[in-house]
Amino acid sequence: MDNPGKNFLINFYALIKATFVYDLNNDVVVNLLNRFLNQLRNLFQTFGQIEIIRYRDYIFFNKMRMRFEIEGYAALQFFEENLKKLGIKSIIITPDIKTQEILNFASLLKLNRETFIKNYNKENFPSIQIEFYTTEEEVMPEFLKDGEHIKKTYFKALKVTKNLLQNLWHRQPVDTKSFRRVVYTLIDSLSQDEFGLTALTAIKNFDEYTYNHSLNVGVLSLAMGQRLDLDRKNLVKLGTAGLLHDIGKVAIPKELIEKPGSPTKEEWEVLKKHSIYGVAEIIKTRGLDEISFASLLSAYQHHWNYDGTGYPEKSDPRMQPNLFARIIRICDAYDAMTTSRPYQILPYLPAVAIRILIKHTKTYFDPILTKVFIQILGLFPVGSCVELDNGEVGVVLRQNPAHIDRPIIKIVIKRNGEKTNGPILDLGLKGEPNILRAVYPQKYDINPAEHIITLYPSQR
Amino acid sequence: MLVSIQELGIDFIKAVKSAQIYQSNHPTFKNFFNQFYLNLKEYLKTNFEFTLQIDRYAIRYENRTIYEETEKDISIAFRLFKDGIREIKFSEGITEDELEIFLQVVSRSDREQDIALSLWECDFSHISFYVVEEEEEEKLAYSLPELPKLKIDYDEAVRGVLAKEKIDFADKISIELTPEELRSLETEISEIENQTAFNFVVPTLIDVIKNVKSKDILDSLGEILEICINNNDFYNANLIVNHLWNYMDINLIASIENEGMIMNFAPLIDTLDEQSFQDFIALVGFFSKKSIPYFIRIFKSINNETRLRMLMERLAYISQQDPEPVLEFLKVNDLKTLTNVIILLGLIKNPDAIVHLKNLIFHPSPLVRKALIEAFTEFNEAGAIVNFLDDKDMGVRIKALQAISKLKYPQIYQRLIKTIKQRSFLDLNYNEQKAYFDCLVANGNKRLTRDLEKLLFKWVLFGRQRYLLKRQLSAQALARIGDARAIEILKKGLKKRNEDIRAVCETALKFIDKGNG
Repeated sequence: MDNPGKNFLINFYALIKATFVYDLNNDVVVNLLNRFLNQLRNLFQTFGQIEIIRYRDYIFFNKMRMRFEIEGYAALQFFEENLKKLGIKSIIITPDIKTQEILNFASLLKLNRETFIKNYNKENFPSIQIEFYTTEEEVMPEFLKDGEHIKKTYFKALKVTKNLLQNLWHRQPVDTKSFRRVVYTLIDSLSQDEFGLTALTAIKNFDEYTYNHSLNVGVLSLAMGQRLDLDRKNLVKLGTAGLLHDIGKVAIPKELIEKPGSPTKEEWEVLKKHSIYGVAEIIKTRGLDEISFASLLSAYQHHWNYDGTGYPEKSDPRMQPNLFARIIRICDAYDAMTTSRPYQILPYLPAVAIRILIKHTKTYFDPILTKVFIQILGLFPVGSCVELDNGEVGVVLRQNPAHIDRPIIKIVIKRNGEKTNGPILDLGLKGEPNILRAVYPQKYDINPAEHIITLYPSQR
Repeated sequence: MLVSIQELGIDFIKAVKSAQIYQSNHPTFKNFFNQFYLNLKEYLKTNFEFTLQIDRYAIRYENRTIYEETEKDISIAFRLFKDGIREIKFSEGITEDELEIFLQVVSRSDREQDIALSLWECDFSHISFYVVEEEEEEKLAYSLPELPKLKIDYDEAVRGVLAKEKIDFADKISIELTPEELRSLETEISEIENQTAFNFVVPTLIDVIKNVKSKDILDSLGEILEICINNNDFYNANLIVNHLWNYMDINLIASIENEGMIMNFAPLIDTLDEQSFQDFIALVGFFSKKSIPYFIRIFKSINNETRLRMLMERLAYISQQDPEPVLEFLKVNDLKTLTNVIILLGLIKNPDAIVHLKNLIFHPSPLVRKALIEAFTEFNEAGAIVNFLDDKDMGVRIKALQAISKLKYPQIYQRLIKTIKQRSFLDLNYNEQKAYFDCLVANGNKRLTRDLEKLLFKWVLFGRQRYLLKRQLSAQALARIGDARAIEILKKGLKKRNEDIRAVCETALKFIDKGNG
């Protein structure tokens, strides 16, 4: 098995689900149990024992963090949601475990926290040791790296992207080594915490739109690529392609790019040429290699729509945008819609932009990839300002993988209208308020970026 | 064998240091490398991972220092540290190749090298590393952007957008992928690896260059063209060359054609699949006539006659009827090259070559003489071909007769009928006799039918059996003529007392009936 942790969770999840539906001696349960037992035997041989840890939104299998991928998504989501609901910090399974113990434990997982604690005792489960979180504060496990460097990674990447584009704009030599390095650091950072880096894309900068946008599209594309379980080689291609998708804009007069108000029809025709210019710029900057090929194809195709429309015009109508271009199409549209630009001072709310993506699936956007995108960002993406049904207002800080419509938020306006700096609520937990609607943060004179940047990663 | 961490750490350092000093094939390096590799493998069998922490001047394992060197220029730790590497992890399954490449990268003396970047680009499967960006905070200082503040009713703005986009937040949204969607995604992802980038990149660059006359793109297309040709991807090579020729009047081949490239085609011509060969032949059309001599040099290694002929036809096309680059090859000793050069000159069809070819009429090799017949056929030089009717080689004589049949050369008729009538004609092989009759029919005049009648009905006293073949060929010739007079003669033959005549006439008439049927 190539990924023992993923396969363990998938098989365990299948068994647990079956115990929810069938009697414990039903054939379905027995078959799934046998499969799981076989796997357990192999795992014990390799690892000695099995340790499942939940920390924040992460599940760790023997200290290896399990990533959200398309395959096994439901299983990981189940464990993340249920261990959180039950307040479980870790489960250790030792090799002497008996069949009945596994079955009994599986059927316990459907209970609520109080009943679970009542039914779980060490005598009945000698081979399954559980540790619960005792306080509100979840202590970061030692092996989880301090996420502070994610911020550094993001802003370093922003600096390098800005330098690259500025130098190209001014026809100065470019530092491709730093740029190549940035792609790898983003990939490493995302592999440690896909939600952390993605959250930083919610910080929008009107004055430096082109640079911020390029980086955000690169990060969001990489998050998609990671969710799709692309290998590292392809992630490098996708990340580079995302960062460089708008590079053709450096060949368009800056005054036109930064011109306030809507462009005229003629100006629009010039702006549209950035897809074509992008190809030439990538070749000039990077030369010819596989990464350049992926980047230039994406730069050229990232305004091709799913239904075959879009620009630049295709020489062969049968040509379809490739996977990377379709990913970038979605990330590009989302980031552009949610950012203030010279010709769009008031951007769309992130939650509205998500709905617009959904509305235009099958015409503009690939429907399958749009679903994957929303699995990552949720229905109220990070940076969204939301009014709750108890009268409070919060800023979305983090996605809740188990509930795309119930993120983790920070209360920034109290019921009485006063500003506040917390508390942080996990709307996925029982008893927390519901989101009434998304609103513009300007309505309450708040800047979500302040809360995102100061929160992440260590102040939770 | 139990390996201690301390030993493994020492092995690692020794291996890196020896890699700094020795080439990878040097026995000293091999020795240290093998020791580290085998001990590491042994260790990973039970521990799965071996993780080293990198400090500014030291390398540690679980806080135990296994290496320390504060001299920046020689410190391995510092070299790794300065590029942000803080941890290196070797995992179970590591291969010898991976480890060797890793050691080569970390021991390179190039100060400009970013080791982290170099290691990333190696894309190891069993070696990972933790890298930090160590820029000073102030350099990364970032002032948070202000949100644009407008004097508007923000709620109204939201309502406006929702109405305009016809969005209802109450609509249920499903983001679960169906099994079919999952499968289609998995299939597409698995296919990424197998896709040939050029199939997508080439049409894109061509589309772009139609809009942007970029020298960089043109140069890139030139580079890609060379890669395509080197990889035998003649489809994309053609696409590039054709489009640039059609849209920009640029022949990229002219700038890259060279002897080496053409010599590399030698083994391909026999082995390419049919479509690739067609693409190859189309591409040859873009080479200049200066490359013809190089192509001639690969003639001798081509076994597939049909493909060789197609190549020669293409070369004749690019020669622009200039025989000069080919004529010098008439002096070569290699028979295969010489014969094909003669044929090529015929295909080029420049009459200036005829005089050079005529010098070879008495060439000792029948292959060369046959090639000359072929070339003269192209030049419509039947007069020159007649010289070969008395050739000592039967194959040459038959080829000459066939060529004259093809060219129509009525002046030859008298000579042919005279030869056929001679008694010695019966000594000739069937194929040659037949070639004579075919040539006679092809170049026949109004006396032909009467001459054939005489040959058919001729009374012979001796050698009746040998003459039978001549009767057969005469009857067949009449059947091929097939006009009323010829049929009348054949029917007359049916009534003859000579059973040979009756038999051949009956067969010939059946042939006519079959043809009419």
